[in-house]
Amino acid sequence: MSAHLSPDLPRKPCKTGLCGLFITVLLFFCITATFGCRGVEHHQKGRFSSAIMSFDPDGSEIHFHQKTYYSREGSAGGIGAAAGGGCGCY
Amino acid sequence: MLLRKLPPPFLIAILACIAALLPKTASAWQERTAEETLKESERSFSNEAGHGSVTFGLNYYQNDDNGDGNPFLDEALTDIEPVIIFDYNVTDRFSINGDLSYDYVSSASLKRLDGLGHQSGATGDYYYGANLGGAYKLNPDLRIGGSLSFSTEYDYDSIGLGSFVARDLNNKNTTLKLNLNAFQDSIDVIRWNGWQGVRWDGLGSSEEPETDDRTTLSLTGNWYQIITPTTHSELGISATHQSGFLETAYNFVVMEYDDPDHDPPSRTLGPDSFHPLTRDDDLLDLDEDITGQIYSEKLPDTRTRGSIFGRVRTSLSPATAVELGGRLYADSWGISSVTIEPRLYQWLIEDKLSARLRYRFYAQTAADDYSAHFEMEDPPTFRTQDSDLGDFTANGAGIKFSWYVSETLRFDVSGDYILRSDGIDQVLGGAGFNWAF
Repeated sequence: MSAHLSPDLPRKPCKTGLCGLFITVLLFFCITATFGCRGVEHHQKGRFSSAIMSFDPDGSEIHFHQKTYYSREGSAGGIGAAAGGGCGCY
Repeated sequence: MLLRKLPPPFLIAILACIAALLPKTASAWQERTAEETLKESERSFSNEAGHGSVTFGLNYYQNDDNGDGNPFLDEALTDIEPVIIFDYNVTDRFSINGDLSYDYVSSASLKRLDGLGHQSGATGDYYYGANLGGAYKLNPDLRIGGSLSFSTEYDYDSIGLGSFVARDLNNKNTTLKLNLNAFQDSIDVIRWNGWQGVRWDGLGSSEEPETDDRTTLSLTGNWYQIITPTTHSELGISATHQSGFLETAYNFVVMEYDDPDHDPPSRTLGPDSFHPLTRDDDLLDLDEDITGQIYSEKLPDTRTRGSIFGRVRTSLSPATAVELGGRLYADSWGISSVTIEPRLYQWLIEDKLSARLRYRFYAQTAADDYSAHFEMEDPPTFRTQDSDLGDFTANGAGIKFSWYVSETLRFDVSGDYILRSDGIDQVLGGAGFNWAF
């Protein structure tokens, strides 16, 4: 069935809950970063040299997935890419 | 300006991040012994001059349309993209990187409009993209860099500038990175019917090609953290402001009459030009018996986006790792979304063959100006029927295999299938290699 849109609906500048969550997480992030951990010594980091622990081993896949998500979803930006230029329209 | 529009706590938090990136104190550096500093330096500059890597990928994307998205448009589409990515250490401190990509796009909407004046700009058949960047290590813990990007397609040209500063802290257990990107796009405004040429000057129309532009400014902060000897994480926040022409030029909106026997008037020119939609119209391949008027999509000329994203990966054993990632997103058009993505990494043959399984859940709310149907009697100023701006959920699953032929050569092959609640189901595939030298 049709769902008709009223042209006079007030525009919501921001979802209040999400804004609050944004700010809380961001402040937590900054405070923790400032007093960050020092616990792991260099000789204890051997596990991170394994390829399965690398965050970005395949640039081609990241490049393409970001492009398709940017084009096919209403949201953009995040890990690996900024909300970028170009049409991005499929 | 973007900063003026941000809430004060948001601004304070960004400033705190910038402060954290700045050199802490001279004493922190001096606390290290000469031997420690030397070892740190050796580790940091291990990427020797003359070395680098090349990655090649051939990627495939396809989606069908079962009619549940935009009811007036066949949204089936295929995209094939070869991409080359490279990086090279020019000196021990200076490296360059870049990528070249080409997309061949074939869509049902594009073929349908072949016979109408200009071919529609519906993604334009092709997309060329290039990016070139450089990074410089100021000291073992501080890096800066910049990039220049360019892309062109049938109706779009885009130039981008990027810069970053990254600082390692806490014996390299922490890395903070700040990225600033700007894009300037120029657009040939080719409308849904292939029409590009009417600019309304208040007195009448002229046949000058209609063009417009779009500016994007994006600020992203990343925090990488080693938490334990087997767990590390990444957390980030991104804010983006866009202004200018933000519609998709070739998108249209159908305004429907309540009475299907209503005879629409002839088409008009001018800023609100429209095309009559009659019952026997063969332009839109309609299943429904409707009449109305077809208008161009119209959306606000500014958009501010914000997102928080993060992931944590832990090594359960030398052969197994798991990751949990996610993102929260909201923008000024009324879209908010959540993404949750767990992953499993497994060595099938130690140091030779690995597999990755992933699941991705994505849900978004609709833009304020989105509706699947509009009434001619109640036309809104802003309107879109673009299903990508509607509300939907998507569930995706994928598998990837990586074959490590040697220490310098790796082959990858991957496939993903995404089920979307609006029927725009998607298939993604890719194959490629990475060669380090």
